[in-house]
Amino acid sequence: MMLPQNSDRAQESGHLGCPGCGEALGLRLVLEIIGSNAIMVVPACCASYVDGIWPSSAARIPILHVAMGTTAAVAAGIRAALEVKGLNDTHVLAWAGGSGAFDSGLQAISSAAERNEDILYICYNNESYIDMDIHYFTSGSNRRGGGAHADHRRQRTQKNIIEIMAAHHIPYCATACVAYPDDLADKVKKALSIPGFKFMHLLSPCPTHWEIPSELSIELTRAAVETRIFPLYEVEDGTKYAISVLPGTFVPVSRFLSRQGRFANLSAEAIRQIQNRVESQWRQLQRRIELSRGGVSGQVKAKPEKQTAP
Amino acid sequence: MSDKDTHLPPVNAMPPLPISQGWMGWNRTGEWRYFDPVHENHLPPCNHACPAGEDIQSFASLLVQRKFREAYDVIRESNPLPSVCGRVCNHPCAANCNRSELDDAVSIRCLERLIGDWGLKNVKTQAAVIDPDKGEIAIIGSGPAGLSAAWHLTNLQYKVTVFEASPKAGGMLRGGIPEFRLPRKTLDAEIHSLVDRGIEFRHNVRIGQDIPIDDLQRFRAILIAIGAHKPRVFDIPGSDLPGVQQGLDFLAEVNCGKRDFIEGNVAILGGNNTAIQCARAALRLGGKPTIYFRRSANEVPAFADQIEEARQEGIEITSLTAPTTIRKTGNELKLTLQRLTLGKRDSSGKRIALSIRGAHTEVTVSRVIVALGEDPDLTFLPRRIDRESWGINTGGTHQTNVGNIFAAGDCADNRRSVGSAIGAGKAAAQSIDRYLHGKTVFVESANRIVTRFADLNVAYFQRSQVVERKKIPDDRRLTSFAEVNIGLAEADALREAARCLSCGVCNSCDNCLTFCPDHAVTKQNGGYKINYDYCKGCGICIHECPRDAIHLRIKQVPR
Repeated sequence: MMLPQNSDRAQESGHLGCPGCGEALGLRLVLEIIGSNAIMVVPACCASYVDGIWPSSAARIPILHVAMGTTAAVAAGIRAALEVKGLNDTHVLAWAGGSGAFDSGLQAISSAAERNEDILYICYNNESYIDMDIHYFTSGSNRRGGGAHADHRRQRTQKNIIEIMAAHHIPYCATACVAYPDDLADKVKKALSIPGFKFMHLLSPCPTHWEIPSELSIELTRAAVETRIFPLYEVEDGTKYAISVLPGTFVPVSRFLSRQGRFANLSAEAIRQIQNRVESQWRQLQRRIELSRGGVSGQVKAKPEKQTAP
Repeated sequence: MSDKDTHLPPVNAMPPLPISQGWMGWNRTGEWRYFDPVHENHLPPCNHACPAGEDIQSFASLLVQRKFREAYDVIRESNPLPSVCGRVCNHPCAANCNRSELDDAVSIRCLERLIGDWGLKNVKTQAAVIDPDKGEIAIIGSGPAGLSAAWHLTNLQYKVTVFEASPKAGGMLRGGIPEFRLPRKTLDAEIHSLVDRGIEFRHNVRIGQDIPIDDLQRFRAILIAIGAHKPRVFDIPGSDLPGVQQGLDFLAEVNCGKRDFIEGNVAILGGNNTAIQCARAALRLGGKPTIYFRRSANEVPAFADQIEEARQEGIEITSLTAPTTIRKTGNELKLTLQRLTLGKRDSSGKRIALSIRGAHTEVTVSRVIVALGEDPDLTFLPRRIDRESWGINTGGTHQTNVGNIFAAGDCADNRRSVGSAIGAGKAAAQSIDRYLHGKTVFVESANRIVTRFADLNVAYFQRSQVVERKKIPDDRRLTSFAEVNIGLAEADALREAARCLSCGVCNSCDNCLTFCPDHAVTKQNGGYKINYDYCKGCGICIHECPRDAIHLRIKQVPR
């Protein structure tokens, strides 16, 4: 390795992310916790060029670039190799974009999760599918459209990747976002302390695709949590649900949607539908939390929903 | 760009796998930026509103770190009387506190009082180093303006002599403010600390009577800080009857310890602070005071907290009434009052009070206390000093038309508050210093930008309730001259200080460093340094700064 010797930083400046890039920020926050004894696997996604085009890299740890669908498989292979070499304290981080995790990489994730490979898989989701011309992920609709898959996915909801992972009964999965760095750090620490397959879904803002001024990156990510579009919670062993950040006030989804150019074409009706959907998902999440607190399905007391008026 | 720049191995040593291992430091992303974020503190609204110019944000932050001594020194840089001000100032700082738009304003008066009291207990004021070459300054009057000017001039190494007509220093603080607001012990202790500082006081000397003002010519400069003690003319039939007394005279008697029992109703005429204090003093002496005020209820000029405390004590304020005659019947006085109503607005926008024909009321009282306001008594001044009907107009420079004679406080100012007098004393001291150094006395105020609530990022602030001062129990409160307000306990004050949002002033919260996607912010010397070689100018640090301490500058293109 030929890294700058004088650096004690997890990630150097000079990466190629756009101004206000949430992925670069998220990676630094994660790497600051993981430290230098780690190997990172990155498929084709923003990170593969934001961090520096091969063979350059802003991150302080070695990065292995792999094909889009193979991230989890390669990470599992690295873990096996490390075990053979006796390097059990080296962390393996799979760092994949939304497309590589939700879509083409899902099979490899599922298999690695099923085998409970000892890796930390973090899907940083900028809701963009940037590599394929920004068209796939949105919470409801996309003004730009374009691209092969655009039309029939326009009005669909994002997959609930945490539910998919929880259904694998892996030891730990969680959502996190860059607007709550303390929560993110806590979750990474917790994940690293648990052996087995850990999955995190990290909301990382993309000013370019979200069509927002770069300085609003963090504010809108915080709005995603405050509107409950992206609740911050964790699931242990696929059953124990817990909210990790409960915002002081809940705000209407329009606070998140209306400031983004990509949602400029949403009608009032569409926003109302999204609000309803968000509330229904929130109720489901609350119910799962109640169940994991010891309640048995069907016998849960109907508690009034814990909600703070906006 | 050479291999040395990129830290890459030579081509023949490249690994067989696509493993990134160079670095990106060669990529100076600062070139992308078209404006610069800059750490730069703005002015907190409390500091901006403080007439004495205290650095309130600073002492609150020092208090949180339990640095009492440093906090005391910060206040005393502007104000020698923190214990007094913590009790009697109307605290425009709190009225401008940005926190009031989030939940409740920080109780700055309690913090000031705590620090002031701590200083009186723990700090022995050291005598200032006096430079004999700088000459002597005379100050006429030892009210807040005179004391403040004396303090600041002493700090500037002048020898200062303060002339006071009464036996004790303090001016309006002693004569005009009763003990239930400001205990004598506190006032004496703070004045004593000024004596310790090396200020000379000459009591019982009334300039113009005991010494002519021209005898002060041996001083290099003279500051007139005589306050406003001459009651406004009150001339209605019966106004000269025994039992009719001026408010300031009544307060002076009470404050000297002459506390005769008052029986029956007492009518207080006027709505200023003197009127309210007279009513509260009369109540404690056994009387049943009612305040009669000729304008409407929301135009009462007294401080809001004074009005509130008077109301709590059961004192009634009857607005829109004007006295017409006073008659004596037996041992009692009959006061006739004219009911008024509000008419059209005058040129200043105030609604004129008009008499309602035939609407008279008569009240039987044992005493009438008149508090219609005060003006400075300038008769002792030589003719050559220009004056207006309300006092000496210095146009904000504190210098009169006679070069070495200056004026400050209530006699040269219409604001009429302890805080503004202390601020004026400080400004006058600076003017005198500039004058004696041959500079122009007019100083243009620094045009600093004030941080308002809209400039803050409130996502980082939790709501919390104010910890306010308490009052003594009613049975003691209404029958004695014991101080009404109890200061905060130390733990409560520290909690209250922690509520300060530090508007406009960086307090090293690390948000800029944490959220920089380009790792361009680093800590340096207790502050932050932005590496402009890599800052892309995304603006996140500016937007996520909770307290508006990072600002945008147009990028300077290197030549």
